[in-house]
Amino acid sequence: MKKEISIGTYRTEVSELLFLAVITLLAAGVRISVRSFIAEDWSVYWSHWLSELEAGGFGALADDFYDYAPPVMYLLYVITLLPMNAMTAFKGFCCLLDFAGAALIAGMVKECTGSRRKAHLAYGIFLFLPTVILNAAVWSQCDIIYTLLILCSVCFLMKNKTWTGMWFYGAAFAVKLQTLFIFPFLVILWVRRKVDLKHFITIPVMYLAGIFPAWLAGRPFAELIGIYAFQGSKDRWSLSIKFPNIYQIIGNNYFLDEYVGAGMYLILGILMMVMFYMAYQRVQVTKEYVILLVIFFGMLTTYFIPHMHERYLYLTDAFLLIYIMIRTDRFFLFIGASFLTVVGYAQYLTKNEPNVSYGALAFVQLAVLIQIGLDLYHYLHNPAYSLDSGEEEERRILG
Amino acid sequence: MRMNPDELLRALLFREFRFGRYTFDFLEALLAVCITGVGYLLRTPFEAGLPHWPFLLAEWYLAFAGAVLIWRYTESRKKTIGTYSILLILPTVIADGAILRSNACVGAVLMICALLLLEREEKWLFTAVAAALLLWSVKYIGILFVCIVLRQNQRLKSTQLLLLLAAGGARFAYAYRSWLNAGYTLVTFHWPNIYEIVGKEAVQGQLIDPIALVGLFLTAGLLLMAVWLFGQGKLFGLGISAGTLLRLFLFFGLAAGYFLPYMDQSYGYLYCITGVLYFMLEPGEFFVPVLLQIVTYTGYQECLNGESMMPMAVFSGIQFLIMAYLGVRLLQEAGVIKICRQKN
Repeated sequence: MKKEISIGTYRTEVSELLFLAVITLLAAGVRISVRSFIAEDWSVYWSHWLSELEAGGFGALADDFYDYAPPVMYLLYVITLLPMNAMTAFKGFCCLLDFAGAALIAGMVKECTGSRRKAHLAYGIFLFLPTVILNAAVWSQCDIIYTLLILCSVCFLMKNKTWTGMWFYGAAFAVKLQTLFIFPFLVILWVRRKVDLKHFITIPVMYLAGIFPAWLAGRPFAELIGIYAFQGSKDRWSLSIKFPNIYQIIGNNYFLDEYVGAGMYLILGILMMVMFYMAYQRVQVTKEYVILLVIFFGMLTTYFIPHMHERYLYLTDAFLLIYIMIRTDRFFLFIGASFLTVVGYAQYLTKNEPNVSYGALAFVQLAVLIQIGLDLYHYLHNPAYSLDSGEEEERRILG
Repeated sequence: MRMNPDELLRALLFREFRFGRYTFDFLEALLAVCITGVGYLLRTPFEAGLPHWPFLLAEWYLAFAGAVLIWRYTESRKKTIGTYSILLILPTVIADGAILRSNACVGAVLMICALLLLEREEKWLFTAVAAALLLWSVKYIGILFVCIVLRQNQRLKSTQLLLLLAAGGARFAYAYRSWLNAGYTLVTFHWPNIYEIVGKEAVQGQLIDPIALVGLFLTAGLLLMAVWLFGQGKLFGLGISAGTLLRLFLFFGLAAGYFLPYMDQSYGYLYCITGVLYFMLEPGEFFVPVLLQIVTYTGYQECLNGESMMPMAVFSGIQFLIMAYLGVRLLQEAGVIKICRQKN
């Protein structure tokens, strides 16, 4: 069992390969067994969009029946062409991406820690995270798509393949607006000379490339450009949609219109101050720092922006998993964070009120955010990472 | 030689400029300008038209005065600009001014002015401003007890303390007379203090409200005991540092508000501001302003919405923990805990 075998450049022990195989089979098994569950999102939105696409073909994209980014609609269009149940096909595709995401996370953990065992553990944990299983296989949601693209983006940035990393970031933005939650980390990387202004061109280019086919199909350009603005104007019935953030403490059913603007301006002000502070900290940019930045900004923005959904910590959960493999003493953060959002998922899927108050969960989420903030603060003030005033900053992200 | 726009921009961000006798980085000026804009915009969703200018101006002045105070204490440009930024976008400030059109800002501005005067050793002027606050409302009674500690530490003269005692005593007597037959239905109005735990319904159909009157005397008695306890130690060594001074203000202010009856949500306003100033001097104790902000804003939310998302007793509990933490820190600093251990 201790014998090592190689698959291409990948080398591992037989026992570990067996572990991976069993984990993969179990993860596939759970996804297959829940595939027939029909969530409300599917019956209300997805199936309606699919029937429009089935009826009108690609030309149906000219209509305004959908408010998701066009690339997701292209995927649905392809599904309509397949000779199988659409929901199974959609869930199947997203579940395949779950496995790809788990493999990528494992690769990043290996890259950051050098430990093959930790990488294998991360692979297994990601596949068995309740939110990951529920998101694609049960709920038929597709948060894995943009999460995977962001993971690719950060992975390439950490390998100092800046252009590739930024193309992936642009692609993620073309798929989901939520990509912007972590955008400030790129600004910090720019200040620290790890990316340049020219790299940011990838974001509008990929967005335009994403909407181009829909424009060709006939949907007006102005509508396509403003599709995210339209998305933002929905869900105005609650300031927090089962998401444990500040609105669950102060009240999420009042001042609905006023807090939309105020919440956005507040987070803008907070981000300005945080970025101002970070810009002055001359530190070595390591992989751990990049991961921490992504988690911190992902959690900070979602804690204050109104209308957050229970699914919006999916991305930070993935990065938190990588972080706790780098710093195993932070394992409790991951347990707390990854189970917090399950409450919202469970309420959505079962339609039952949760037994735990969202206010209490919001306090736990605040504690997690503060701990991540403190870790970042300690990193910035760690003499091992700080640069002397005359010391030249390296243009690459260090190991 | 080719110009690299990235390097040019990065260099500009950290480039130092001089304006008269003031020096600042471009990035600092950029933050100051942008945060002023954000502070303005943050108030607009709550207004039908443009923000009401007296409130806007008063709140801007509050942020500016707070920044000046931190500059005087620390001489750190980063902390100064940080104070200005936080105070401009502090949710409690916006709730009180832009939403409720209340006047808590005036008390906070006066309090910061008093602290500035004390820092400049203008003790009579400090006494005058503090006395004005004490006369204005019984909710500033905590200041009186801080002044007693300052007198113990030779920072104030006996005559100055006497004046403050007279002002505080007069306000206390006035509150006693008016509350004797107050007839309020509640003992606390959206301010999460002890009454949110023990019950906030006022006694009806009696000549007096015993809970309110007991609360009033309890406040005076407990705070006096706290002063006496601090006096058992070495009176904070060689002098009271700015951090300790703010901690004293926070402790006595919060302790007074925890037991005073008939306080409303705006009680926490001053301490949210003081908490931010405190954070700039004691960054390790960031949780004090964070929790204070949550506790106070919840009071404002309950006032505006008519109900609270979580039981207010939870926030009373949090506030008690903050108060207890500050009290223990002060006892440690005054050396009282050490003395107690030695005697044991």
